[in-house]
Amino acid sequence: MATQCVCPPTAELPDLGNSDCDVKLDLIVKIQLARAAGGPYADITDETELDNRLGAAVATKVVLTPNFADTDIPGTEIILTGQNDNTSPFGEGFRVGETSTTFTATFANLDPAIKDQLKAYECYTDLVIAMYDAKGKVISLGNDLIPISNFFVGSRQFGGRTEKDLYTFNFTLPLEWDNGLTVNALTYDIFSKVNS
Amino acid sequence: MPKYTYVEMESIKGERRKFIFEHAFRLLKNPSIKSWTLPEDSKWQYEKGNLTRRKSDQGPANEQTT
Repeated sequence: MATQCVCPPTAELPDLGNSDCDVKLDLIVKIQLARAAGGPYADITDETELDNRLGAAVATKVVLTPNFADTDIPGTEIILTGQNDNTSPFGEGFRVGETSTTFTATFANLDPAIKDQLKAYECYTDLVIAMYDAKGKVISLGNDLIPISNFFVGSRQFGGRTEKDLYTFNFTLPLEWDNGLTVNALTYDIFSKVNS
Repeated sequence: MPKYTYVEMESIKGERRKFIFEHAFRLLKNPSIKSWTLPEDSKWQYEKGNLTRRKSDQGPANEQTT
Protein backbone atom coordinates (compact mmCIF):
# COMPACT_ATOMS: atom_id res chain seq x y z
CA MET A 1 0.00 0.00 0.00
CA ALA A 2 1.55 3.25 -1.12
CA THR A 3 1.93 6.07 1.33
CA GLN A 4 -1.14 8.31 1.39
CA CYS A 5 -0.82 11.88 2.58
CA VAL A 6 -3.78 13.35 4.44
CA CYS A 7 -4.71 16.99 4.08
CA PRO A 8 -4.35 18.80 6.31
CA PRO A 9 -1.61 16.73 7.94
CA THR A 10 -1.75 15.96 11.64
CA ALA A 11 -0.37 18.69 13.89
CA GLU A 12 2.27 16.39 15.27
CA LEU A 13 4.59 14.23 13.22
CA PRO A 14 3.64 10.56 13.10
CA ASP A 15 5.65 8.34 15.45
CA LEU A 16 8.96 6.91 14.35
CA GLY A 17 9.93 3.70 16.11
CA ASN A 18 13.29 2.69 17.49
CA SER A 19 14.88 -0.44 16.09
CA ASP A 20 17.68 -2.46 17.60
CA CYS A 21 18.10 -4.60 14.52
CA ASP A 22 19.64 -3.84 11.17
CA VAL A 23 18.03 -5.58 8.21
CA LYS A 24 20.38 -6.43 5.35
CA LEU A 25 19.21 -8.54 2.47
CA ASP A 26 21.68 -11.21 1.43
CA LEU A 27 22.28 -12.05 -2.21
CA ILE A 28 18.96 -12.93 -3.84
CA VAL A 29 19.45 -16.08 -5.88
CA LYS A 30 16.04 -17.67 -6.49
CA ILE A 31 12.39 -16.74 -6.66
CA GLN A 32 9.15 -18.57 -6.21
CA LEU A 33 6.58 -17.65 -8.85
CA ALA A 34 2.86 -18.01 -8.33
CA ARG A 35 -0.44 -16.53 -9.39
CA ALA A 36 -2.17 -14.07 -7.08
CA ALA A 37 -5.28 -16.22 -7.39
CA GLY A 38 -3.47 -18.82 -5.32
CA GLY A 39 -3.89 -16.60 -2.28
CA PRO A 40 -1.56 -16.00 0.64
CA TYR A 41 0.18 -18.68 2.62
CA ALA A 42 -1.06 -19.60 6.07
CA ASP A 43 2.61 -19.75 7.07
CA ILE A 44 5.21 -18.96 4.44
CA THR A 45 7.89 -20.83 6.39
CA ASP A 46 5.89 -24.07 6.50
CA GLU A 47 7.50 -26.74 4.31
CA THR A 48 4.29 -28.74 4.01
CA GLU A 49 2.53 -25.75 2.52
CA LEU A 50 5.28 -25.05 -0.01
CA ASP A 51 5.40 -28.72 -0.98
CA ASN A 52 1.63 -28.76 -1.33
CA ARG A 53 1.80 -25.82 -3.72
CA LEU A 54 4.74 -27.26 -5.66
CA GLY A 55 2.61 -30.30 -6.31
CA ALA A 56 -0.61 -28.43 -7.04
CA ALA A 57 -2.25 -28.55 -10.45
CA VAL A 58 -4.56 -25.58 -9.82
CA ALA A 59 -4.14 -21.84 -9.22
CA THR A 60 -2.25 -22.44 -5.99
CA LYS A 61 0.60 -24.02 -7.95
CA VAL A 62 4.01 -22.43 -7.51
CA VAL A 63 7.30 -22.89 -9.32
CA LEU A 64 10.86 -22.21 -8.28
CA THR A 65 13.26 -20.63 -10.73
CA PRO A 66 16.75 -21.98 -11.27
CA ASN A 67 19.35 -20.16 -9.21
CA PHE A 68 20.45 -16.84 -10.64
CA ALA A 69 23.00 -14.10 -9.96
CA ASP A 70 23.70 -10.42 -10.56
CA THR A 71 20.47 -9.44 -8.82
CA ASP A 72 19.85 -5.74 -8.81
CA ILE A 73 16.93 -3.90 -7.27
CA PRO A 74 17.52 -0.18 -7.60
CA GLY A 75 15.97 2.18 -5.12
CA THR A 76 13.42 4.63 -6.41
CA GLU A 77 14.03 8.30 -7.02
CA ILE A 78 11.74 11.26 -6.80
CA ILE A 79 10.41 12.73 -10.03
CA LEU A 80 10.33 16.51 -9.97
CA THR A 81 9.12 18.93 -12.57
CA GLY A 82 10.02 22.55 -12.89
CA GLN A 83 13.21 22.21 -10.89
CA ASN A 84 16.05 24.64 -11.53
CA ASP A 85 14.03 26.80 -13.85
CA ASN A 86 11.50 29.52 -13.45
CA THR A 87 8.40 27.32 -13.73
CA SER A 88 8.26 26.62 -10.00
CA PRO A 89 8.61 28.97 -7.03
CA PHE A 90 12.29 29.49 -6.29
CA GLY A 91 13.06 26.77 -8.83
CA GLU A 92 12.54 24.12 -6.18
CA GLY A 93 10.32 22.03 -8.42
CA PHE A 94 7.10 20.11 -7.83
CA ARG A 95 7.07 16.50 -6.78
CA VAL A 96 5.04 14.65 -9.38
CA GLY A 97 5.95 11.04 -8.71
CA GLU A 98 8.52 8.39 -8.11
CA THR A 99 10.45 6.14 -10.44
CA SER A 100 9.42 2.51 -10.76
CA THR A 101 11.56 -0.40 -9.66
CA THR A 102 12.85 -3.01 -12.06
CA PHE A 103 14.25 -6.21 -10.59
CA THR A 104 17.01 -7.56 -12.82
CA ALA A 105 19.08 -10.72 -12.57
CA THR A 106 20.77 -13.23 -14.85
CA PHE A 107 20.66 -16.96 -15.37
CA ALA A 108 24.00 -18.36 -16.45
CA ASN A 109 24.25 -21.08 -19.12
CA LEU A 110 20.56 -21.83 -18.81
CA ASP A 111 19.06 -24.73 -20.73
CA PRO A 112 17.12 -23.11 -23.62
CA ALA A 113 14.18 -25.42 -22.89
CA ILE A 114 13.90 -23.96 -19.38
CA LYS A 115 14.19 -20.47 -20.84
CA ASP A 116 11.27 -21.25 -23.15
CA GLN A 117 9.22 -22.36 -20.15
CA LEU A 118 10.11 -19.21 -18.23
CA LYS A 119 8.99 -17.13 -21.23
CA ALA A 120 5.51 -18.57 -20.84
CA TYR A 121 5.11 -16.70 -17.56
CA GLU A 122 5.25 -13.43 -19.52
CA CYS A 123 1.63 -14.11 -20.46
CA TYR A 124 0.42 -13.91 -16.87
CA THR A 125 -0.58 -10.54 -15.48
CA ASP A 126 -1.18 -11.59 -11.88
CA LEU A 127 2.19 -13.00 -10.92
CA VAL A 128 3.41 -12.83 -7.35
CA ILE A 129 6.77 -13.85 -5.98
CA ALA A 130 8.80 -14.63 -2.92
CA MET A 131 12.56 -14.24 -3.08
CA TYR A 132 15.18 -16.49 -1.55
CA ASP A 133 18.57 -15.29 -0.47
CA ALA A 134 21.83 -17.20 -0.59
CA LYS A 135 21.34 -18.32 3.00
CA GLY A 136 18.01 -19.88 2.12
CA LYS A 137 15.88 -17.26 3.83
CA VAL A 138 12.55 -16.30 2.29
CA ILE A 139 11.82 -12.66 1.54
CA SER A 140 8.15 -11.79 1.27
CA LEU A 141 5.42 -9.56 2.65
CA GLY A 142 4.72 -11.73 5.65
CA ASN A 143 2.56 -14.60 4.39
CA ASP A 144 1.70 -12.65 1.25
CA LEU A 145 3.80 -12.85 -1.88
CA ILE A 146 5.04 -9.72 -3.64
CA PRO A 147 3.03 -8.71 -6.73
CA ILE A 148 5.04 -8.10 -9.90
CA SER A 149 4.35 -7.09 -13.48
CA ASN A 150 6.10 -7.07 -16.85
CA PHE A 151 7.90 -10.36 -16.27
CA PHE A 152 10.40 -10.72 -19.10
CA VAL A 153 13.20 -13.07 -20.03
CA GLY A 154 15.63 -11.75 -22.61
CA SER A 155 17.42 -13.64 -25.32
CA ARG A 156 20.66 -15.50 -24.83
CA GLN A 157 23.72 -13.31 -24.46
CA PHE A 158 26.80 -14.99 -25.88
CA GLY A 159 30.06 -13.27 -25.10
CA GLY A 160 32.53 -15.80 -26.45
CA ARG A 161 34.04 -19.10 -25.40
CA THR A 162 35.46 -17.76 -22.18
CA GLU A 163 32.31 -15.97 -21.06
CA LYS A 164 29.17 -17.38 -19.51
CA ASP A 165 26.06 -17.38 -21.66
CA LEU A 166 23.60 -15.18 -19.87
CA TYR A 167 19.84 -14.81 -19.90
CA THR A 168 18.85 -11.55 -18.27
CA PHE A 169 15.36 -11.49 -16.82
CA ASN A 170 13.49 -8.72 -15.15
CA PHE A 171 10.15 -7.60 -13.83
CA THR A 172 8.62 -4.53 -12.30
CA LEU A 173 8.02 -4.28 -8.60
CA PRO A 174 5.07 -2.20 -7.45
CA LEU A 175 5.39 1.21 -5.85
CA GLU A 176 6.67 0.85 -2.29
CA TRP A 177 7.04 -2.88 -2.89
CA ASP A 178 9.09 -3.20 0.28
CA ASN A 179 6.40 -1.97 2.66
CA GLY A 180 5.97 -4.77 5.17
CA LEU A 181 8.93 -6.72 3.79
CA THR A 182 9.92 -9.70 5.93
CA VAL A 183 12.94 -11.99 5.92
CA ASN A 184 12.34 -15.38 7.51
CA ALA A 185 14.70 -18.29 8.06
CA LEU A 186 13.44 -21.66 6.89
CA THR A 187 13.81 -24.98 8.68
CA TYR A 188 14.32 -26.79 5.38
CA ASP A 189 16.72 -26.37 2.46
CA ILE A 190 14.98 -24.44 -0.28
CA PHE A 191 17.83 -25.25 -2.66
CA SER A 192 17.02 -28.95 -2.44
CA LYS A 193 13.51 -28.35 -3.79
CA VAL A 194 12.69 -29.10 -7.40
CA ASN A 195 9.58 -28.40 -9.41
CA SER A 196 6.99 -31.13 -9.91
CA MET B 1 -20.50 -33.06 -13.20
CA PRO B 2 -16.85 -34.14 -13.21
CA LYS B 3 -15.87 -37.00 -10.98
CA TYR B 4 -12.51 -36.79 -9.29
CA THR B 5 -10.48 -39.43 -7.59
CA TYR B 6 -9.06 -38.33 -4.28
CA VAL B 7 -6.01 -39.66 -2.51
CA GLU B 8 -5.57 -39.06 1.19
CA MET B 9 -2.08 -38.02 2.21
CA GLU B 10 -0.42 -37.24 5.49
CA SER B 11 2.00 -34.43 6.27
CA ILE B 12 5.02 -34.60 8.54
CA LYS B 13 2.91 -32.59 10.99
CA GLY B 14 0.36 -35.37 11.13
CA GLU B 15 -2.25 -33.48 9.12
CA ARG B 16 -4.30 -35.60 6.74
CA ARG B 17 -5.72 -34.11 3.58
CA LYS B 18 -7.42 -35.46 0.48
CA PHE B 19 -5.83 -34.40 -2.77
CA ILE B 20 -7.09 -34.82 -6.29
CA PHE B 21 -5.24 -37.77 -7.85
CA GLU B 22 -3.08 -35.61 -10.13
CA HIS B 23 -2.03 -33.41 -7.22
CA ALA B 24 -1.16 -36.41 -5.06
CA PHE B 25 0.79 -37.95 -7.93
CA ARG B 26 2.77 -34.73 -8.45
CA LEU B 27 3.60 -34.64 -4.74
CA LEU B 28 4.76 -38.25 -4.74
CA LYS B 29 6.81 -38.14 -7.91
CA ASN B 30 8.75 -35.04 -6.81
CA PRO B 31 11.86 -36.37 -5.04
CA SER B 32 12.34 -33.12 -3.14
CA ILE B 33 8.92 -33.28 -1.51
CA LYS B 34 9.24 -35.18 1.73
CA SER B 35 6.58 -33.46 3.80
CA TRP B 36 3.58 -35.27 2.24
CA THR B 37 3.44 -39.03 2.03
CA LEU B 38 0.86 -41.76 1.80
CA PRO B 39 -0.23 -42.75 5.31
CA GLU B 40 0.59 -46.25 6.47
CA ASP B 41 -3.05 -47.29 6.27
CA SER B 42 -3.46 -45.79 2.79
CA LYS B 43 -5.57 -47.53 0.19
CA TRP B 44 -2.98 -46.38 -2.34
CA GLN B 45 0.60 -47.30 -3.07
CA TYR B 46 3.33 -45.47 -4.97
CA GLU B 47 5.80 -47.84 -6.58
CA LYS B 48 8.08 -47.48 -9.57
CA GLY B 49 6.59 -44.14 -10.49
CA ASN B 50 3.01 -45.39 -10.43
CA LEU B 51 0.26 -44.45 -8.00
CA THR B 52 -2.19 -47.31 -7.81
CA ARG B 53 -4.79 -48.69 -5.48
CA ARG B 54 -3.65 -51.49 -3.25
CA LYS B 55 -4.97 -54.83 -4.39
CA SER B 56 -7.02 -55.08 -1.21
CA ASP B 57 -8.89 -51.92 -2.18
CA GLN B 58 -10.02 -51.98 -5.79
CA GLY B 59 -13.42 -50.49 -5.09
CA PRO B 60 -14.64 -46.99 -5.89
CA ALA B 61 -14.61 -45.87 -2.22
CA ASN B 62 -12.25 -42.96 -2.84
CA GLU B 63 -14.11 -41.50 -5.77
CA GLN B 64 -16.16 -38.44 -5.06
CA THR B 65 -18.15 -36.01 -7.13
CA THR B 66 -17.53 -32.33 -6.62
